[in-house]
Amino acid sequence: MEVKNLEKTYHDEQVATNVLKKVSFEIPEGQFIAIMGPSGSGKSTLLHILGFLDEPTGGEYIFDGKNLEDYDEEEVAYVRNKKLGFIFQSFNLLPRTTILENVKLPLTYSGVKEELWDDMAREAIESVGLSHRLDFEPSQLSGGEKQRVAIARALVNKPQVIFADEPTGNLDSKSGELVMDIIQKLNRDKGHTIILITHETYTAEYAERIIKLRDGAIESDEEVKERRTGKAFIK
Amino acid sequence: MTLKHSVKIALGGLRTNKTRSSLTILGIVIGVTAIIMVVSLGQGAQDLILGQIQGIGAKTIGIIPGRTPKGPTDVLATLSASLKQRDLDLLSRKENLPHQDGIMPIVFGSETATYEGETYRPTIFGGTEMMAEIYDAFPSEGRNLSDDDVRGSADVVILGAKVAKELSPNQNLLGERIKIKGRNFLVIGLLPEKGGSSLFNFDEIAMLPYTTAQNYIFGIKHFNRIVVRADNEANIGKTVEDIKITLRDAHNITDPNKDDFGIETQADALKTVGTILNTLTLFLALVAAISLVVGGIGIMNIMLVSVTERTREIGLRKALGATKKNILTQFLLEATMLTGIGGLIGIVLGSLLSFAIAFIISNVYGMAWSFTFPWVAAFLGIAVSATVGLIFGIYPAKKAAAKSPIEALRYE
Repeated sequence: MEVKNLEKTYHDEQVATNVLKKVSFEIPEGQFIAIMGPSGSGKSTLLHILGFLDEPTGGEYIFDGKNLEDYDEEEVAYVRNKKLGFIFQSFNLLPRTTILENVKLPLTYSGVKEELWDDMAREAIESVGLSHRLDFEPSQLSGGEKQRVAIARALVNKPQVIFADEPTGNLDSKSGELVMDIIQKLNRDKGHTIILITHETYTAEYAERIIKLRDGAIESDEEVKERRTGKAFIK
Repeated sequence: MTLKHSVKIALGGLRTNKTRSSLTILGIVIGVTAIIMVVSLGQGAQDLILGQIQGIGAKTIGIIPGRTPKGPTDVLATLSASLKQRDLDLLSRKENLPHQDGIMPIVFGSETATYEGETYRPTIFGGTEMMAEIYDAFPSEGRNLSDDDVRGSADVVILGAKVAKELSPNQNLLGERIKIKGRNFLVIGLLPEKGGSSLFNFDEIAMLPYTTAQNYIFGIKHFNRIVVRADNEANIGKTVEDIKITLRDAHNITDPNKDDFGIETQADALKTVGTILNTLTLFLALVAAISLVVGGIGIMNIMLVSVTERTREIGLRKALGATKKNILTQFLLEATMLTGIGGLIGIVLGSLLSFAIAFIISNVYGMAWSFTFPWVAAFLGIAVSATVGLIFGIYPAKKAAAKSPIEALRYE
């Protein structure tokens, strides 16, 4: 994926706010990249555009060789469903719905045969080590477990790219580390492209490359020299 | 995504909000229950009343004195003494009414009856022995009126159950003498209790020979009504015509518009009553239908709340690949299923209640009231409630579908 001169301007009561100012970069397939920046730097907006949740007001975003502008509504939904996976800071699991059903949610919109849903969901849940919690509801899980369910849900359609928006933001440091371990492992073992948004350097250092944003522009774009590696994922 | 999945998702949405879902459909349940009950009970009442009219005898024709009233205030038209003994004699002749199979004059009014200090004011019915047959009012004790009673203006009376009880709560009045308008009458028969269900309350009548009633009670020479029975239902029309010709001839009437008598057949009565009851049922069903609309607005209200409350869920679904159409379908289905389920419950509830009421009426009050399942109303109830869900669900569903995923996910 590649962005060229990406711009986003919000118009609010006649005041225009430039959130992104001509941002350009490329992300090769299979890269684990962290986007950092203080709040208001435009990192969330950038993630939303990259994740097909928002549209830029200027510039180009090329995903899979096709410009975002050229995707119609059905295709956008298809890309979100099949090619992208999302992990949110606040988990966003459906309440009063079991873990298994939560993980199946993307499959309901996928066109995958229903007979396969159960196995696919179980496999994804197993890869985050929560097979013993299949019939639990989100309210019965700890924060870390909830985020692992969210990861399983992001994984279930085997997307090319996984977006993680402050995935450790609501977690204690131990759960946060485990979540980052899992995310790193996904990138290493399964080859998912990972785009991580964070404001913590510690978390960002799990990635192989860090883009720092400030006031809507790229401040730096560097390889991580001493990459943090998780203590291999423990079951 | 298939419809099956959409239905599953919508059902899931309803199931996770059980209390709210069931409270929401209450309006629809009540509306449909009311419609079913009104229609079912209306049908029951209609069957009962029509049955009673038919019970009087489909072959009887009533002749009433006076011209047909020109309007509701034209009371004078019916207060006429135009039917006299001469008319009765003419109508009795076979050459005038070849298909006649019995003819009876009736006089009626109200008069005080006394027995050992007890008084009661029954409806006095003066007729002949045919009366028992036509109105199915045979004495359960004693005997019916006879030709001799009529010919001799005998002072005999047959009492309705209530009249007998009011005049003498403990003693059987058969063979006793009671006073009507100061004159002594021998009680020759007692009618069985018929209940208040009949069009004419036979419990409250005193039946006399019409001659006696004319001469000694009311002091009149005319009749209040003449009943003619045709030998066959097919000959009713013909007999009506014969009656008209005979009476016009007797009364020197050439212009049919100036007839000083009116003719009623059971067919007319059936039609009139049927129309009135149908109109009434329709009216009540419409009133009940208003509650469906109110219920629909309740659904819309709750769906709007639900859409706002589930903004995050909608955003999440969109982020995970749901299209606008998926979301629209989900919320529309939720609304339609809510009202559809409400409609079904309403039909079951309405039928059960109607059945219970029919059961109570027929068993406790002894009326021939039967339960009918109103298929048309049930079908309409489901269709209308589902449509209500569709109509009132569209706006909230559109609102839901239009939500942007990031706005929705940001919503706290």
